[in-house]
Amino acid sequence: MFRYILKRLLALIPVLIGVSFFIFSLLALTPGDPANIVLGADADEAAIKIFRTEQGLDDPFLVRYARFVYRAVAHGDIGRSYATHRPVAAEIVTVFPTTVKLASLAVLTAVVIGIPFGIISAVKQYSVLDSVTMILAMVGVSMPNFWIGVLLILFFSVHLGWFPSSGFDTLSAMILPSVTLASNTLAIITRMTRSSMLEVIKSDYIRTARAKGQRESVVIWKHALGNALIPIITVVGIQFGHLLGGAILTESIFSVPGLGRLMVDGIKSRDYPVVQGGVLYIALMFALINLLVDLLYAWVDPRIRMRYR
Amino acid sequence: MAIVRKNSNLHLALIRLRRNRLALLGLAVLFVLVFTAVFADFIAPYDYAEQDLLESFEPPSRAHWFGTDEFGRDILSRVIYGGRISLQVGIVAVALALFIGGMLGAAAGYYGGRVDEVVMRVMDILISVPRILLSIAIAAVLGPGMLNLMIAIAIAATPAFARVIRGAVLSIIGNEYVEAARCMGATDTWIIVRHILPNCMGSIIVLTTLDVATAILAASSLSFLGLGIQPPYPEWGAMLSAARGYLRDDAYMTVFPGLAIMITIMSLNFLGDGLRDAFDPKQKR
Amino acid sequence: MTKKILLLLLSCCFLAASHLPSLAAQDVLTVACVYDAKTLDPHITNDTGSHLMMRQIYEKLVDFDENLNVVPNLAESWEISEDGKTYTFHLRRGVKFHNGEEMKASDVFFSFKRMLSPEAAAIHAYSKVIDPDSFKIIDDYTIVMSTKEPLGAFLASMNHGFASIVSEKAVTEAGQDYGVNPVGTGAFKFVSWAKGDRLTLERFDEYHGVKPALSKMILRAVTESTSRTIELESGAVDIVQDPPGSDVNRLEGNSGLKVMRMPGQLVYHMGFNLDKAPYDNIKVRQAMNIAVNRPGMAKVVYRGNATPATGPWTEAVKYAVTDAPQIAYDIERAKQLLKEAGYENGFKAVIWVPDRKEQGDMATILQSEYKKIGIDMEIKVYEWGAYIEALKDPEHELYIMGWSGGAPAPDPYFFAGPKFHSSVVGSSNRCRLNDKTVDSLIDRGAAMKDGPEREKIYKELYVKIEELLPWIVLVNPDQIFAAKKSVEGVDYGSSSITYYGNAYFK
Repeated sequence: MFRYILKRLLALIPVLIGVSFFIFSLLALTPGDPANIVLGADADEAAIKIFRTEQGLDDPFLVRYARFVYRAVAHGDIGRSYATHRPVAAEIVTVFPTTVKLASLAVLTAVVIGIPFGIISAVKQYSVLDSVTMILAMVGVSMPNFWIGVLLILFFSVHLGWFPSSGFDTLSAMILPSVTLASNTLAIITRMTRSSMLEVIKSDYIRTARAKGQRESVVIWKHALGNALIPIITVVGIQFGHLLGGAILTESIFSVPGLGRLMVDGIKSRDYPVVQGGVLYIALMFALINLLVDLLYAWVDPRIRMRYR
Repeated sequence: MAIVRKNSNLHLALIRLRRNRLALLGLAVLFVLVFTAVFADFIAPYDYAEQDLLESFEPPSRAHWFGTDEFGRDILSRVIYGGRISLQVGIVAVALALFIGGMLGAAAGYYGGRVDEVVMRVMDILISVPRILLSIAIAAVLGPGMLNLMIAIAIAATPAFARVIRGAVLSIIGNEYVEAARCMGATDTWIIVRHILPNCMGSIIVLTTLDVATAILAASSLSFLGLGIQPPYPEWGAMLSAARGYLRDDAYMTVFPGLAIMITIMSLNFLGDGLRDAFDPKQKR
Repeated sequence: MTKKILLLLLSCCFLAASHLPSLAAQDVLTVACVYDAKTLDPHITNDTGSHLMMRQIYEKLVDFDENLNVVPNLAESWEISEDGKTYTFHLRRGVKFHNGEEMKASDVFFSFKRMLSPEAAAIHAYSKVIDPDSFKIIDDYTIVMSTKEPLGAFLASMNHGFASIVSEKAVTEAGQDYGVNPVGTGAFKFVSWAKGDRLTLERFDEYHGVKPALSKMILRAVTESTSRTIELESGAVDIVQDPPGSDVNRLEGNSGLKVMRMPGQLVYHMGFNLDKAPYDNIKVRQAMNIAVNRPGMAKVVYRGNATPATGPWTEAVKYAVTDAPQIAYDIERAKQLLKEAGYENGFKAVIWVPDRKEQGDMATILQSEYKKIGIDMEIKVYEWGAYIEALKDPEHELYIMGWSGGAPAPDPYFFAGPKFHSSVVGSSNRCRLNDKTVDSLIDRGAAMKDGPEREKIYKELYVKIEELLPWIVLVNPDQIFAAKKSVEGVDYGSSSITYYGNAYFK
């Protein structure tokens, strides 16, 4: 088991190096001088020169990349933000918990609503409830989540005044952004649960359990759900990873100070260190979550667990 | 042998598709959308850039079914032309991704070894960054504009295609007729094109359809954030973003572009799901 | 049974208690700002968002009164040498920093040295006028410094955030973390900063000046403009900076709120590249100048909350020309002028704009207007970073920018030089104006001391620039604030760097 984990962790390293190189190159190719953004559009030549020398921006590309890798590996220093002069690691640590909270709330909402509805739809297949749920799920997948966000603000903030339209400090401020972010995931989980349950319900061992005279509730909750859970867990894990890096639109609409906003602002203001550090961080998180999902998968399904003995 | 198999596969799939009512609905809506996009010049009541500053911020009325925007432009016309833009971006981006991803995936699967390693590592790198972030970064490098938007979306979509094609290739590669073809002296390219690709046709069609939906969503997301389409072109996401500033008094401006996006994506999803079921009915419904 | 009653009573108490803060909250001011600060270190940034927040924490040697005249603040008095270059500042005694230390000349020296260091490249544009070797500390409360050239606007510029006085001890101790642990001399001291969300300040009891009525000030960053209005209407904030134009009318109609409209300093303009044909032809520029429907633009882009511009700087600037004529809107005359210039059939043009909504909207309107006189204008949108970079090349034809003098002070020195002096062609002088009269007027106005002579020069400069038309000035957005009716005491002024510390609730 541990060997497997180790192997996976080691396999991460070339990917991270690749990602860092890719982003570094991308940023180097982006037109626009960070000096002009940090110092202001009308900064004079002298100030720009000072800035560029300070940050080593006039050195050749490979030199800069090597410097970055060396500092990251030897000192754990992934640079300082051009705008705030604070270490990128500190900037990320400041905003990351907010994004985690947002993503977690979103996934929680999606799971708490999606799984039960998916189960009920599967159990009562072809019923009105099933059809309605499926249509709603389809709508949820197709509605762009920035539209959902805008509409939610329109109804619940502007007209009803129930929730604030920005910020993320109080519980009521967290509701609209979480629901917005949850919408796509909710739809996906509902459909996933339903199809997974359907497949399992039609299988042989369920028929056997029923033939044995087991109570229906045990059949559904213990046997069917247990086995249907596996692909559901995978989807939940993958969605969570996506949400961490992809909450950009929701964070923009609701002014939530999270990692997505940091990234977009960083790209717009050519704050190279922040973008590099941030993307690397997201890639790492994503990979770790995938690993966790795989491990969870193995733990839940004894058949897979066997493979790793 | 291969030819007969391909026909019967496709044939059966089409029969199954015809029975799926939702998919047919999606196809019908899509057809209407494509039709309006192609014939926009005849269908749209106004020019999408025609300003009338006196008529700005008019709610829906008989003269303007969807109302007018901040410049007095007719929103219905802009939504119609916006459909043309969205479909163009979606289709071209996915076509690009299919072509590049397909080439890479086929090469990886067919040649294996080092080629496979390299291609798959690159794909791994691309997918470790969330798609929208990747598209934003690429769009920032390339700058605003429709072509750049297509490229940014295509690059983010490529890994999925590469994977699918590679998988399809790997599953076929052992088959006898491939060996036979090689013995007969067929070139690699010929084999790939004539034998392998037709057999993954099903997966490709499904992925393409669903990915056009994703691409359209990505295009409107990026335009919503301010990257992509320049004024005065009417892109749905950009229209929604502009409408945000007028939410209090002119909320009607937020309804129609969003509805347009939703309907387009929904019909593509219905069709895509239907196609998936049609090509592989054993898969989960 | 008793337990249940007790529980009920307890929960009632909690409910009541949770409402108490809102009763006592009449001395806590919450402001919704447009941008969050990047840092609270005044010497490493020049973005408006940071300086607005820092304005509430720090002070400088001087201040402005309501008429924009320079008055003493941390410096009690000063003398200026005959040649106008050397300033002797006598510092106020007993001024305490938020960390309890007293402000001495050494802190002033430290602050100025810091402003001139490489780390402070962002404010270099303002600090470069100071001669770095000229500092002399006479005693604990007297310091001497000189500018490289005599500069009439120097004292006014000292009121900008970049010249904030910081505590040597605090900065040295905090090191690189100073940006999130600011220590100033102002009436409010730093409590906490949730980045991207809010900055919390509380009253500094050892403040040297008039004690504020407020006990706490909270500055929230609400970047979504509609959200700012929503927060104000729901009562979550007390003052809103820059509500969107489309909301202003409804806010004015709200009996619990008041709206303050101030002439702004921002001049949106379309700049020409004077080195490129046909823009080197004055008649072409004149034609394009009078073919713009400025009131229409103000209505569409700012919902009427902007004034048509008449010249390169606004009434909010000192020595402004207040009776400048409105620019005509005459399509026929424009066509006539184009014909005289030899372009009867119009020509193709390309305008560059950054990816900001206002500029994009203005370009869209211009495109439609210029079509009427035969100019086929294509709009090219650049992402902001790429935009600045692209404008350095002499390849552009037309571009749109907003200009507010970099706001160190509303002195025309800051508005004219960076944009029109031939020495900065290619960097901040994007229209590439190279005119001897303009240059000489700018140079003379810079050196002169305040007075009627200086006023005359700037009025002349204003007229001359309008004559030459290196820019087509478009609109001046109003500076708008909205607040609860109960909030008084704030001097809104026309700069976006407002001080909220004097507020109180009626």
